[in-house]
Amino acid sequence: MAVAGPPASAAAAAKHPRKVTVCRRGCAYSSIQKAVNRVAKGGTVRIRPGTYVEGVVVKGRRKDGITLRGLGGARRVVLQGKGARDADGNPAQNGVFVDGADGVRLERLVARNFPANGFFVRNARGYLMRNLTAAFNRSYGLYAFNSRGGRMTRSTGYGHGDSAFYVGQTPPQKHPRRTSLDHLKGYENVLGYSGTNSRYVDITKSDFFNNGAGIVPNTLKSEKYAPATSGTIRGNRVFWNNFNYFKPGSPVKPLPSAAGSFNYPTGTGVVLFGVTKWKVSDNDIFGNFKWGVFSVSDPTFKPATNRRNRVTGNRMGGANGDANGVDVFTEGSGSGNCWSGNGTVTLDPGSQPDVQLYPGCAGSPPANGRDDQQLGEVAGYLLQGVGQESSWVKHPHKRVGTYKPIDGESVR
Amino acid sequence: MRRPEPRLGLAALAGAGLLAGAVPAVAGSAPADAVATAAKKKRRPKPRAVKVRDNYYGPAKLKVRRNTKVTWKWPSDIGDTHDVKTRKVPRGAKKFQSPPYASGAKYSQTFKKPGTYKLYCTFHSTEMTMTVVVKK
Repeated sequence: MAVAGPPASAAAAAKHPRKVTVCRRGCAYSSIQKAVNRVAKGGTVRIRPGTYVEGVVVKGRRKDGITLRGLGGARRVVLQGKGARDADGNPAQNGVFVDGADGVRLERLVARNFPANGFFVRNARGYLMRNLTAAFNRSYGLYAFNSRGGRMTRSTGYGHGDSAFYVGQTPPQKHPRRTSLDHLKGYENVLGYSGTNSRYVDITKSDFFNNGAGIVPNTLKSEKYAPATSGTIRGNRVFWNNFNYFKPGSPVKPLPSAAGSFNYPTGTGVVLFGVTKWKVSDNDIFGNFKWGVFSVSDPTFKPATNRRNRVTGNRMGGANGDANGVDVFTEGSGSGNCWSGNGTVTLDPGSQPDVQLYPGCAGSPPANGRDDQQLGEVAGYLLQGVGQESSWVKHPHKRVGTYKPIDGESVR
Repeated sequence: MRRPEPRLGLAALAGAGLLAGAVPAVAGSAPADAVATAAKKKRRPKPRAVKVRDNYYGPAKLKVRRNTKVTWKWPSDIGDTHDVKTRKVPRGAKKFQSPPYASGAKYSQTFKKPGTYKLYCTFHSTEMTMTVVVKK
């Protein structure tokens, strides 16, 4: 007599359940990785509070749409990089690494002390990173690479040798899926946001403060799909980015600069480095001791030439009662770059806008003209390390909530 | 039950160095398996190491014999994220890709098929490349 087994769907559900729970002791899974390996496509891994010494890899289309969710509050599930090893015996590099799985959601997790990144998504269509905290990972906090669309929201990154938030090498798309970064806090990093050759990125309603530089979209030869294009920086507060991580004893060690022998600028709010069609508008940019907005091209790489960028309607230092060293600086390269409606701004050089360096945005796209003296000033600054601070224009700051400025000092 | 006595052959003794000076070192006097082992050892190519740095492999070109094990080594302290992936391999050779690493990691592959292997870092594909030529 044939005995009927369980229906195929029931067997599959048992093998790959929709919901699994992880905890340090007393659950079916004590390792997040084992739970991820088991959970069904689209399923949820619920993680109870505790510290998990492991790096988690979510790989391939069979893990599309899964959710990793910390329970019990935003900071109670900690992925600890110190002592964590991967399956090959190497140090685990990332808190969570999503590779080629679409629409994965990471929520309410902390990743700290990983040798590479906190949360890393590569080769994905869409992702959600929400209520995450990344701390003292060596490269990036929340990191998306070669992906189409996605969102980083309500998350915090600090102590990174590159940036707290990074979107890089976005493939060009006919009908772009945009990437949204909103309600973020990035502080005490080399850079708050960095995005090499990123496209279709909207950075809004976030705070970037106490970094070396606040928000830095950029174009480099090293990655595909140059230039960084079609982004917006709107409604953010970008302030006090005066972290001199070059100082001896700094707990944040910068990665070797991707810009060759040049260092990244410190004391700077927003940097537009060789980008196209970026809009910087409606931001509060203040208390940055070198430059508020700094726009420069890479003269050695043609795609990294600033084109058609608009800096409009921002409230700069004076309007916030906390001056920038100089509100705006450019060496004037590229074409179609314009500056309008930013109130009373301080400029380099001069007190009146040089119409070639700082043309307004009304009418036809302006012609720009490179000023080699300005370029020389930039090069001189970026060749310095710890000495960049010597040219900062320092002063006490106006209070901002409960935040404390670090102004050149190391992280407390 | 008594355990059988371990059999200690000449080869084992030779391997342990116990016969040094006791047996004249005359060519052809060693047992066949010891000779074969020695010959095999001689044939096995020396492993090679490649540094993975920002943003290059060192060396960027490597010539090796068949069956050479190549190990890529990431820096021990700090670095950007890199991997190593095959772009082009000889016919019949296996493609491979390492996981992405930033520091403290090693990754090895043994090159069995002769020919030219083109490799690159998927994060810095426009400038971080290397070639391995495997000789017959």
